[in-house]
Amino acid sequence: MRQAAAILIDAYRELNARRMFWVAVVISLLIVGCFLAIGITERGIQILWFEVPAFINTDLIPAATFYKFMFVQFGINVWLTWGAAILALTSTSGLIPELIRSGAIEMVLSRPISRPKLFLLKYLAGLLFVVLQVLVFTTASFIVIGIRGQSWEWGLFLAVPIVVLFFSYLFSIQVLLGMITRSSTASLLLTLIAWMLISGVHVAESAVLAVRINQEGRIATLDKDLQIREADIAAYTRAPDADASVLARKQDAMEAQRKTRSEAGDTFTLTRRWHEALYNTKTLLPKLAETTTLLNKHLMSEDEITRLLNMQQQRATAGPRGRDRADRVQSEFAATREQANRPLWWTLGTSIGFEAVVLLIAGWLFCRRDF
Amino acid sequence: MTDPSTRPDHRHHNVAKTYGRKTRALRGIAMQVHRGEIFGLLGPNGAGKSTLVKILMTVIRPTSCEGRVLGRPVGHKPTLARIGYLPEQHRFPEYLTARQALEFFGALSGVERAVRRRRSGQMLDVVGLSRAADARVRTFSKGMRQRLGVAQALFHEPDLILLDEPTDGVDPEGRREIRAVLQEQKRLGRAVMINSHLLSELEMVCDRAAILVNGSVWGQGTLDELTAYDLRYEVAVATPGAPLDDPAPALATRLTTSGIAATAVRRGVVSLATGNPADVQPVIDAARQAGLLVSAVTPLRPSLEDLFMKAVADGRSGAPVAGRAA
Repeated sequence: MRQAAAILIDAYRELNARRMFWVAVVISLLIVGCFLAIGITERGIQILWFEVPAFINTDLIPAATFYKFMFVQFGINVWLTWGAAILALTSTSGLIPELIRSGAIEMVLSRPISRPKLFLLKYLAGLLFVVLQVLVFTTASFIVIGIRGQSWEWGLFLAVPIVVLFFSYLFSIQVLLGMITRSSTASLLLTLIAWMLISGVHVAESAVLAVRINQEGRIATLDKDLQIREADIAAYTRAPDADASVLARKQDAMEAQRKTRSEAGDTFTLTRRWHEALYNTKTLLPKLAETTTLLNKHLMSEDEITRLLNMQQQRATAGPRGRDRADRVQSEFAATREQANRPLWWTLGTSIGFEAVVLLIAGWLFCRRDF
Repeated sequence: MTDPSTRPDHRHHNVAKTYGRKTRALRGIAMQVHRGEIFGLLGPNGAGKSTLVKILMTVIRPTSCEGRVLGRPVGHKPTLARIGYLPEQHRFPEYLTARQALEFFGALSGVERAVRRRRSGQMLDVVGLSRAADARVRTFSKGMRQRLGVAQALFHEPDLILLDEPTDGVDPEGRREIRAVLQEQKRLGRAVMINSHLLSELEMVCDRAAILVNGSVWGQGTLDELTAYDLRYEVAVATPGAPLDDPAPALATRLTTSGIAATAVRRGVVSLATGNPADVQPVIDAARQAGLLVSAVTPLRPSLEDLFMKAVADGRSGAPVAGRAA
């Protein structure tokens, strides 16, 4: 306990000595300051004392939902899981290389503390950066949303474990790379590349899922059309005044439709295989986007999420160009809904499993290495 | 009843470390360090001194080791709370102050908070850093860092202290202070093991030493035992009333007629290839009979540097390891 406290206090002192930590705190407070400056009225958006007419107003969504939406979309999805996460990775990139540096590692390994315990405590100390950042940001947001939205949302604090979990996936990769490369720069760059690859798999899976959903819809439409045509031909055949040439035309058209259906079926099989491959790959990797989406699900009611998604969908399909891409947009939103509804064990269980495996490898290297 | 001062605090035999399949850093070491003594570990670069110390401190895992430290097997983590260690070219976290660094490493060694608070000031005073107690380590000179390193090694009042190059980069005044600190630790009954290249430093403080060459112990024992291989005597003589006259020819003649074989006689100094005082007496008698004045009789033994050079030369030539006193 004494050793754990010492390592955590030391981690805090190290963070305190780093400018990056304070830069992140200041940016967090500036963003919360923006929340304070932006409001929603019956007529539109209010920035400081100026009202800007907009399609979003309190008739469409309540003020509390608007603030929660801003908190999740900008505060969490943009700032904490991108900006602050990169700053955090930059700050913590030296943690393991500095620990195992010649001259420093002897100072800690020569103490009555086991290597696994030391490794685990250092890992937890590394998460301290994000814990403190999210706590500052969430507390400030909680106060601002409480004042402006007249709604004291304790659920906001769920952002602390969720964002820390999100960061811990990346941090585990960084720790392993730090152990292997012994370099803070190399571990930071390689972690950012790993992040890009994981996000790439997510984007590809989302895109292929949207295509799959789109194709499913198309196949359903084609099947329905074929049923109608079959019924029509059957009815026409039974009609006393059926014309053979008309019937032949109807049958030709149905054959062409069957061919289209068959081709669509083949394409769908290929898409499904691709999606399965991407889904399986993703199952092995940490679910970065899905983890942060959990916050939406817990912070907003089903009704609020549906309203927001519908609102976004309407906006995406508005105008003449929007109508052209309505099908695609609808599939993309359906894919988002499907991803959001994936079971919790899949989202968190497999991600934590990935993190555990990566940490076990890094810990094993730390425990076995001669320094 | 066993005298506690002779009970070994640190004993190991058959310690070996192999890197990969070929590189053997240590080839089976047998060594003992007792309470209340300062033990020097000498050897050329690459002899395996630091590897041995790192094995004792669990920084390196030995290929094989049957040793015991403070009554526990080497590698027993809780025992490390009773061992103080100063690594070679150690690094302190740069953002900590001297006081914070001592308290941090003290906490890792299991020292209670109240004791840490009290002892940090005392230890900084002992190593002459009390003025810099609240300055950040990043502002420290090499010598100051070394003093702080010694302080952290002693902070938890360990029974065994292992110091790797403790006076590296320290000025003469600081060296003297560190020597005094080590003598004090010896007086308190602690076992101190120093690994150093500064042979004159070791010579001043060590009671016993071991010389490591090519991963093996070339020899170990008290400094007297280790240097006994080449004991000599020198007898200085002069002509009474004419100190500038060379008494050599007269003395050489007398020694020859008395049948005494001296190694050399030159400019008033007779060198004898013996460490036995009885063999010196006939030379003194012969000098007196020649009417000469005996001005000094000096026993000579090799310096630690001579011993070190001999060990290194033996190691290079592949000479068999001398079975020196343990």
